[in-house]
Amino acid sequence: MKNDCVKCFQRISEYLDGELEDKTCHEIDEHLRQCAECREYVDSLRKTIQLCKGTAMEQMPIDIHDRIRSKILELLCM
Amino acid sequence: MDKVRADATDHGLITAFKAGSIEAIDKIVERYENPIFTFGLKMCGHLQDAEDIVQETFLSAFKYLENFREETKLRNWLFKIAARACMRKRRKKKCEPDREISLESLIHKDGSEGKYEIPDWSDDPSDNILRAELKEVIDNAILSLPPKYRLVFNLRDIEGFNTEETAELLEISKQSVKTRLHRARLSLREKIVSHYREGKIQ
Repeated sequence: MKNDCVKCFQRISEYLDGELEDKTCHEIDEHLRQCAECREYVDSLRKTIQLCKGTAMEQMPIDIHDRIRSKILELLCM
Repeated sequence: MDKVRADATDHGLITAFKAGSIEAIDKIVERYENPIFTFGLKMCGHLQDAEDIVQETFLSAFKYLENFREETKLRNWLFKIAARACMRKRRKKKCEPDREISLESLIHKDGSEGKYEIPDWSDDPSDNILRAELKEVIDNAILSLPPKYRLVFNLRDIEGFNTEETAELLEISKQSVKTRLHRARLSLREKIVSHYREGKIQ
C-alpha cells in the first residue's frame, strides 16, 4: 500500500464525519480522485455505516414496558 | 440551566416530575424506552439483558431525577447511566475479553479483495426475508466487536451522539472515541464483506 493510501485509510472515518481540517480533507479528496481502489474502499465503508444505521431502532415488547413501569412506580411510591 | 442545550420537552417533563406528576414519568419512559432498549440489545444481544439495562437505567434515573440540574441533556444522562449498566453487566459475566482491534489487521492489500460486495439496504425493500437476513448479519457483526469498540460504535453511529458527547458520556478522550469508532467501522466492513463472500461472520 502506498503512503497516500495508508494516510487515507487511517483518516477515512474523520473524513466521512467531516472532522478533518481543510488541508487534510483536500489532500484526501485529491488522493481519492486518483486512486480507484481507495475510492472503492471509502464507498464500501460509507455503505457499511449506512447499513448499520438502517438496522437501528428496535421496538421494546409491551410486556417489558409494563414490567418496567410497575417497578418504577413501586420504587417511587416506597 | 443552559438554555442553548436544553430540550424544551424534556425540561417540561422534568419540571412536571419534580412537581409530582405520574404522567411525566410515563412520558419520559415512552420517550426513551425504545432507544435505550435498542442500545441494550445491540450491546448485549439478549432480550433479558436489554430489559435489565432499561430497568436499571430508569430506576436509577428516577431515583436521582429530583436533583437533576439539567447541566447535561436528559437523553445524554440516561445513556450515560445505560452505558454504565452495560459495562457492569459485562463485568459480572466475565466471559467477554476486551481485546484490541489493530489497524494493521484491517489494512486492505492492493488488489487482493476484488470488488467489495456489500448489499444495499434499499436493493429491494419489498423483500422482507432478505432484509431480515441482512439485519441479522449486521446485528451479529456489531455484537462480535470487542465491548469498548461496540460501545463507541453504538453511541456514535446507531444513537447519533457526536464525538464530544460520546467522550463525555464514556469519560474518555475525543481521540479515543475517534480511534475506537474508526477501528469498529473498519472491522464491521470486513465482517460484512467477509459474510457475503464466504457466508459467515468471522
